[in-house]
Amino acid sequence: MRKGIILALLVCLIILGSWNFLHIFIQHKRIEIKNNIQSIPFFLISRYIETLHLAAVKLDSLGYIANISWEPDSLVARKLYSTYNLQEAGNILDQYRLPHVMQIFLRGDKINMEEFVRFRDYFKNFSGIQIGYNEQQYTKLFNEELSLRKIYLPVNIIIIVLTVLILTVLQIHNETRSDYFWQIYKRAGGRKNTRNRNYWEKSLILVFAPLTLNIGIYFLMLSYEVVSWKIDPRLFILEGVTILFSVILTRIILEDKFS
Amino acid sequence: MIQIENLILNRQKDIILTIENLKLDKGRKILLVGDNDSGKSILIKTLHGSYHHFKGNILFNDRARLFPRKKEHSLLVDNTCQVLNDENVWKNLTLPWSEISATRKQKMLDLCKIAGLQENLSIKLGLLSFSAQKMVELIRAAVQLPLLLLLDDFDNYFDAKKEEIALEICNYAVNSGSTVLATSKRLLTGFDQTFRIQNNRVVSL
Repeated sequence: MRKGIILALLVCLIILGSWNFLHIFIQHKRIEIKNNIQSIPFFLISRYIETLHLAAVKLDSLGYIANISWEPDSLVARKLYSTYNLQEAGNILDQYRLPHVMQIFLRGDKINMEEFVRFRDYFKNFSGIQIGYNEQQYTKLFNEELSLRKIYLPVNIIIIVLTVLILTVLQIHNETRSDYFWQIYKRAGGRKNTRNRNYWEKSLILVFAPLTLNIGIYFLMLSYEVVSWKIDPRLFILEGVTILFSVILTRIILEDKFS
Repeated sequence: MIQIENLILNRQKDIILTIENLKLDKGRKILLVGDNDSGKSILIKTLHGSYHHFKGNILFNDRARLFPRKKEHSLLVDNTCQVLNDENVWKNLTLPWSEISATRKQKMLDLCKIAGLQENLSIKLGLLSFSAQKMVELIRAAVQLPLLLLLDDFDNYFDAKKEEIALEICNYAVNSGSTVLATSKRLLTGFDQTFRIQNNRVVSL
C-alpha cells in the first residue's frame, strides 16, 4: 500500500512540475514576443514637422505607445552622411530638404493585431504623412502571440483532463490492490469506517504534499533567480482543485468498496 | 443473550430451516450439529448478518440484529482463510487495531502460548499450516470478546488435540460473557450445550 501512495505522490509531483514548467514556458515565450514587438520601430515620415506634431497629439491618446523619438531633417542628413560615407556629397545634400522622421515603439503587452491594423490605417490615411514599418516582422510576431494565446486554454484543459484521468486510474488501481487487505481487515473485526478514513488521509497527503513541494520549488527558483517569470497564483489553486476533483471522483467510483 | 424467534431461512423458494424459539445464553459454548446442506452455515451467516433471506426475529440483548450496538457484534470464523499470508503472525493477530493495549497484548501472547504459536510470531502466516492459520483467526476473534463468536465447520480445521486447545481459547471469550456458537457435522465434546438440525428444525440434545 505504501508503494502505491509513494508512486501516486511521485506522479502527482511530476504532473504539477510539468504543468508549472509549461506555464512558465508559455509566459516566457509571450514576454519574448512582446519585447520583440517593442523593439521594432514604426516610422512616420513627413516633410513638415507640424504634421508630425499633429500626429504626436493623436499618439498621446493611445495607450500602447512605449516610446517616441524624433529625427528632424538635420539628424536624418547626418545619419545618411555617416552611414554611407557621404561627407563629400554633404553640400549637395544640403541643397535638398530631407523629411522629418518620427520613430514609434509599440508596447507589446498592450497592443494586438487588430489594434495595430487600426493604428497603421489611421496614419496611412493621415494627410502629409508616410508610414514605414517591417510588416513581415510585425505580422509574424502578432501571429505567434495569437497562437500562444489560442493554445493556452486548450493546453490547460488537456492537462486537467489528463491529470484527473491519470490520478483517478492510479488511485483506483491502488485501492483495488488493497481490496484484499481491507476485506480481511473487516472480517477480522476492524472498524468499518477505517478504510474510508485511511482513504481521506491519503488523499489529503496527495492533494497537499506535491502542491506544497511544487510551490516551494517555484519560490526557491524565484528567489535564486533561476526563473524570473511569475506564475499566476490562481494556477496553484487550479492544480489543487484538479487533484481534489480526482480524489473525490475516485471515491465516488469506488463507493461500493467503502460501503 | 441471543434470542431467535419464528425464524424461517429460505434458499430461493425452499425453506431450509425453521426455528420457533431458541435462546443462546451468554457465556456458553454451543454446538450445532447437522449433516451437509442442513442449513448450519446459513444459520451462522444469518446470525452474523451476512445472509438476509429470512423471516422472523433475531434479537441481540433484546435488540434487533440490524441495529447492534458497537460492542455487541459477532465475529465469524469460517472455511475461507481470512488472513494475510504475506504478513507475519503478530501482524495478523493485531490487524483490527491500530494501537494495542498492554493487557490485550499480554492476553494475546498467553493465548499464542496455549496454541503453541509463541515461537512463530515473526513468521509469515502463509508459511504455517491451515490449522495454525485458523488458530490465529480464532485468537484474534476471541480477544475482541464479541457478543457472538461464530465458528463454522469447527471440526474441519482441527484434530482432537487442537480442538481442545481451540476450546480453551474460546473459554477466554466465554468467561468474559461471549457466546460461542460452533457448527459441526459430528458430535464434539467440550461444549456446554448441543443442538442438532433434524428435518429442517433445531432440536436440543
